[in-house]
Amino acid sequence: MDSLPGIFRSERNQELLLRILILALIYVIAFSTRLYSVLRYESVIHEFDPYFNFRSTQYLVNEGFYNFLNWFDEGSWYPLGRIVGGTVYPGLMITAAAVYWVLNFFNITINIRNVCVLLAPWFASNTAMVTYFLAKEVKNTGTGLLAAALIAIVPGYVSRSVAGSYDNEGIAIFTLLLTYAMWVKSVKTGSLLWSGLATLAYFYMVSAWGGYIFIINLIPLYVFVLLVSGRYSSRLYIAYCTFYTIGTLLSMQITFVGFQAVQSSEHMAAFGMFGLLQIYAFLNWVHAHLSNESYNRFFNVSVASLVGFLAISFTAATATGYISPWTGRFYTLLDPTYAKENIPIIASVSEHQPTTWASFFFDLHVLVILFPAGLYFCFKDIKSLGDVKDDNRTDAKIFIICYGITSVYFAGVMVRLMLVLAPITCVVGAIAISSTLENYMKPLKAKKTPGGKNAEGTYPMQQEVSFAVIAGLVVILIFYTFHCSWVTSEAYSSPSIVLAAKQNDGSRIIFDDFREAYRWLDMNTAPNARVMSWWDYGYQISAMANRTILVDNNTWNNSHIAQVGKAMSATEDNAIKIMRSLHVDYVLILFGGLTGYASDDINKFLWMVRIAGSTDPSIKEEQYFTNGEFRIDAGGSPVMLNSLMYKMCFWRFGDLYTEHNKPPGWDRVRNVEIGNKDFTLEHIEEVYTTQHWLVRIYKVKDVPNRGV
Amino acid sequence: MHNRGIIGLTALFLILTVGIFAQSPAGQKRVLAVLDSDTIKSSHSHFFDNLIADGFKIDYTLASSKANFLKYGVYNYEHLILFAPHSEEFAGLDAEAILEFVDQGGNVLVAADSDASDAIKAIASDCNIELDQSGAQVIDHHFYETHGDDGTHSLIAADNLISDEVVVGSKVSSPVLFKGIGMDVLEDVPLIFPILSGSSFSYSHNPSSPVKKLHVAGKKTALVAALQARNNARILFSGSLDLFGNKFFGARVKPSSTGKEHLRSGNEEFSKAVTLWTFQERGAIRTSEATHHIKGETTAPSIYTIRDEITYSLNIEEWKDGKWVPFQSDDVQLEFIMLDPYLRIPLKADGRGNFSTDFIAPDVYGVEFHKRGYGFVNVASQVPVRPYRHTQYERFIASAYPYYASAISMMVGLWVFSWFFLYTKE
Repeated sequence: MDSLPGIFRSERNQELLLRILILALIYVIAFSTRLYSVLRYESVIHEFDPYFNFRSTQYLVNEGFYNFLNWFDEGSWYPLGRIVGGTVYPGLMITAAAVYWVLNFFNITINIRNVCVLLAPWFASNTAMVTYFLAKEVKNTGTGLLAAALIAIVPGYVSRSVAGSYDNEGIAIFTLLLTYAMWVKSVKTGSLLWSGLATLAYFYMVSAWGGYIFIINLIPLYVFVLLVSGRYSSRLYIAYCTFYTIGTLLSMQITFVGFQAVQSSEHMAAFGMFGLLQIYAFLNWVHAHLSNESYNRFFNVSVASLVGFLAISFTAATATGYISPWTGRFYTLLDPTYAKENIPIIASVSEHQPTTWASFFFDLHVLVILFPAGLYFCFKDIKSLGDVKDDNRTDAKIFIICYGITSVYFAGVMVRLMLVLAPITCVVGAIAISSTLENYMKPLKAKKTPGGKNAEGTYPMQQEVSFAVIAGLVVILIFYTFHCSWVTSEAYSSPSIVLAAKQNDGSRIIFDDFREAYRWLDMNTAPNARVMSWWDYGYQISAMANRTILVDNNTWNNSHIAQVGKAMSATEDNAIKIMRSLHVDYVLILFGGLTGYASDDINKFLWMVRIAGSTDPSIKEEQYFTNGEFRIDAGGSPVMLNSLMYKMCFWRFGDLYTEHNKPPGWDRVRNVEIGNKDFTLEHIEEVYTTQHWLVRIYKVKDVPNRGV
Repeated sequence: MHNRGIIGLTALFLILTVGIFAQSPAGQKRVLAVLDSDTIKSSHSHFFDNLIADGFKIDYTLASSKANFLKYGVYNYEHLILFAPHSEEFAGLDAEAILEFVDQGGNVLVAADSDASDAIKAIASDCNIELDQSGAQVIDHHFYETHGDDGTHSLIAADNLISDEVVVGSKVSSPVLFKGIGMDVLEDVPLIFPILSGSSFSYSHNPSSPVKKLHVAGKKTALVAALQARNNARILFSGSLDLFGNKFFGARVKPSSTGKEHLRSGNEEFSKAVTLWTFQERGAIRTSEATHHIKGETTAPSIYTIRDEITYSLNIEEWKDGKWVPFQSDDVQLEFIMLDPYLRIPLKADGRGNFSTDFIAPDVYGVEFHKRGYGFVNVASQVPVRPYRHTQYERFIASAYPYYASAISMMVGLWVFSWFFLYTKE
């Protein structure tokens, strides 16, 4: 000890040093574990939505903030255009642009694409730090470190934050946890400063992700739980009133949110809780001035009239349309089957499907088991501390319980919301582990009494049992680490814009067809050419091929998408009318029949039919079925086999041998021989098909000179 | 609500299509006449003489020989006359080559008769005009021509002309004599229109065989029909070659229906008018200087904002008597389109060929005008129309004054309250 410099001699400073060291390691690990995708492939933006974010960020960097805010994008949703500035959560782009500007100001010349690619991993590191802070506030620093370590590698979060996954969620989880951490702190302290910080964090969250709805509903719920459980305090009153008023005002500054913050029913719970809290405070004050008897009478009358008044005004506001009706996504949360039955465009998105048990384990591993244990410890602590009226750790734990239980429910409803569940399972899991460790560490630390018995022993072989339990926990955590690295590298690091497959001899084959096709469009078509494709590829086409598109992943206009779906599912003669009226020049489709790529347009085709049918009832899904089965072989329905989509996918495919010992025209995704090989294309012509036939591009022919 | 705001402002593309137009070879006068036999040259000499008098240079060739029509991918003629109803090849050109000529902007006059060859029928049917079977003639028991009738009533005095002056001229006063095959014009092709049709009693059939099934009958029986292709090339189909012949030009006409005697048939005027139209001497128009800009400015912006006042102007000229003169019309229209036309405004003519209008951009725009007989003009431009920028909204609106008042009174009230609360003692 004497050899250490003076500052490290105290135990407290050593602990601090150790803590900083651990956090620094966590920071590095959280970042580096997300770089698999860059190592395996290249520094490239992934998937679909990130391409839009990337394109917007480029626009922001090139044109400046005000032009971005007023950006009217005439290149998408032709001919409607899209007001990007007003229909986007700008937090992500502004963050990336700010990073870019700051780095370039210091002459660190990094290009904007690399900033975008690496933003999510960097924010994951920051998330780990915030998680440390949150867990520390709930329990202690040990729990904090553990939670930070868990969240740094938890697959449920990695899935949305690998390098290249430049999406809102990448920074939104950071802001979500930051808001909650600040909120917990502000409830604990009752300080205006912390509530103010929570509000700013909330503002950042609103600017970054539509999931802020979760915050603005969870916090009122939590306040309500505290009220009901008799834990109302002036700390709570200060924290919530500050948060709600300033937070709502700030969130209205985001153009996309605007007046929704006071009008849509999703925000009503927060508003109602704000009112309730005032009434509660007021009644407390009245109670202090009245006798019990007269207070009760006053209470009954005022509550009854208030409830009646609120119910009537809410109904009236909803009926007159002043408060927006409950939106589809909201219903989906409550009733998972709602969207499937009513809104095909919501149901068609795979990440809106209910979560399976397998994916719970896949994304959370041991945390699935530790989660209930952690909740148990939270309840246990509340019980043991419950007698102390003003203990603020209890409030924090109640918050963790509320967050945990609601997010488990949401994650079960929609795969996508696994992302919201992952951080809280890490915190709760960390509580479980650290509580267990604390319990079993005590006997190990205790000195053996001369009699051979433990000092406070309540059961035999206490030290051995403790040792076994701790060893078991360590093994589980090691397995957790292996699982997380494996999942990260195998499942979540594919950019999906470039595909890879293993050949029989073990070598890797790369399918770079998407970029090939987009590049072709960019180099070979007129700059103002209009490309029709299913909406999934809209963002990629506009970002990579830089061409005008009809529909994209921002599915704001259902009927426009339905028009495209209608054209795809109609016969060529009918489709050409729609395409001409929309001034379509090229049609782009994805086809996996040659390579066995399963998420191609034929497999998405039924959604196109359904969405088209939702606005035009003359298109019936049954027409595309044979005896309730979707088939493309000789038994397929004639409507299906003559649809434009079928023809575009299988044009010239009937002459092609795809597999040994199979007839020509063998579709390797559906594993059938296609049913209609002999057809011609009259109004469109094939202009490009990529190397592995993954993308095919057709040109819409001009109107014939002498006919129609 | 927010959503309403978006829909109200959603923006808009500007697609301009202005009607009327022809860039084709108006004023070009090289004609190749393909004939079945040398006799046609003399039997139709009046027709050819009229063309020469109008300044056309005619080269004659027999269908069976070979003509120097296309050299190094360049056509040596702008116009083609096919007076060879019985030939399968026309001076080395087959039906496909002739249609290709049309697609390249050439104009063709085709005369058939009741024994029209398969090649003639193929050209017609490719243009969605169906000739009747060989041997068929248009028969009309009510409107036949009494002079020279052989009892089959297949020589017809037709006066069912379309009224468009630009195509048929204004002078056709006597019925037009017609002897030949009937044609069926597909109605759902807007590019084709009949010029001369049969009466309600006419039909097309072989006069020597009993009637079982009719190819075409009544007013639908087209005697002369035309197609104006999208590239403004024109093809004229006549079911009768004799219609252009010297014999019919000078014939007296006494239709069975009226019994009124005409000294001369209308054939000469009619054939002259439709030939001039077919060969782009009439009804050819062109546009120039299509401009649009914000009122008061001179250059077109790359993007408009909603509620901008936009000026649109365009020059249209017509080919008349050998020169381009300002086009006179009051129904050229501008359309402002997004999916559907949002505005359709007549352009004001200043009499010197300039058409212009001022309008306020609603949400979208474009122009469409096409009048039968005139060439197509389609001037379209695509300009996005954007919603307001955040600084372009009105800063203070009257209906919000109560809210301003409430906010200010609240602030004042709070200040007063705080002051009393902090600095007064009970």
